[in-house]
Amino acid sequence: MALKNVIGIDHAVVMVKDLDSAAENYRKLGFTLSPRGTHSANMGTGNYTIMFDPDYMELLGVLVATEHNAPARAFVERHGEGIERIAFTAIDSTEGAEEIRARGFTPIGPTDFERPVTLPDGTVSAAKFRTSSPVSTRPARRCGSPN
Amino acid sequence: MRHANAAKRIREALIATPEPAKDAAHLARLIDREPKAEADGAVTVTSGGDRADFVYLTLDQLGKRYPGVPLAGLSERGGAALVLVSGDLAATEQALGAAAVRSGAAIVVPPAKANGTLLAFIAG
Repeated sequence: MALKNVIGIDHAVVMVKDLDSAAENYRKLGFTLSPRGTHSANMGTGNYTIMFDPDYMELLGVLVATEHNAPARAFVERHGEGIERIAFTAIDSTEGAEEIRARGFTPIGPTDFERPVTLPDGTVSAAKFRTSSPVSTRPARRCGSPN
Repeated sequence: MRHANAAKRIREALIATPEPAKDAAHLARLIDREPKAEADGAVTVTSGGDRADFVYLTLDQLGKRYPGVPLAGLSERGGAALVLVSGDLAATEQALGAAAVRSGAAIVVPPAKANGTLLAFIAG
């Protein structure tokens, strides 16, 4: 059996200390990076994505310290830079959270968030996500679906 | 998105742990999959469909998979490495230059040169 709504690894999140210098390092390694994304003021984080097919990598860094990103800062303090979480693709993250609950785990969320994205024609839209996370796994594993 | 290093996709996410069987069993229970013991002591958990696999292993086992690659910067427990499929290993080697080392059939960037993440490129 397998979960119906959680269908496999979606992306790997690499937590970094200095987001722009990490991005420059990955460019030197021959990766093409998306433009820098900035999450909400509450989240205080930014990211660069390295898109593959069907998955991707995400470089994630704290731009402004907030209460919300305290766990991210603690991770870097404890472990240094590196893979902080692996995210799953969820067909429906709310249903996926219920499937996880039915298996005896307690999910956090679903949580909605979004970040502005500049499209190729210069207009600005928003990438919206709904995620949930099991609470007792290492490293964190997040199930997400576009909102 | 095209990459000069010819990376195409993630094949494996390698998770370091002193207890591969225990931690793999935990994930397998969470996502309703069967863990598979590998010959070197690592344990694989498929994540679904054509997506990348999780591989739980000790740092010692990781070092044996990629001999000659310094593991400085990795924790005993946590996400350690990504195995990436390359569409052209010659292009990978050229793009990575001195940042990478040959290790068996893979071209590997040590964690110290990839912000704490070992990147192993393999032929696809």
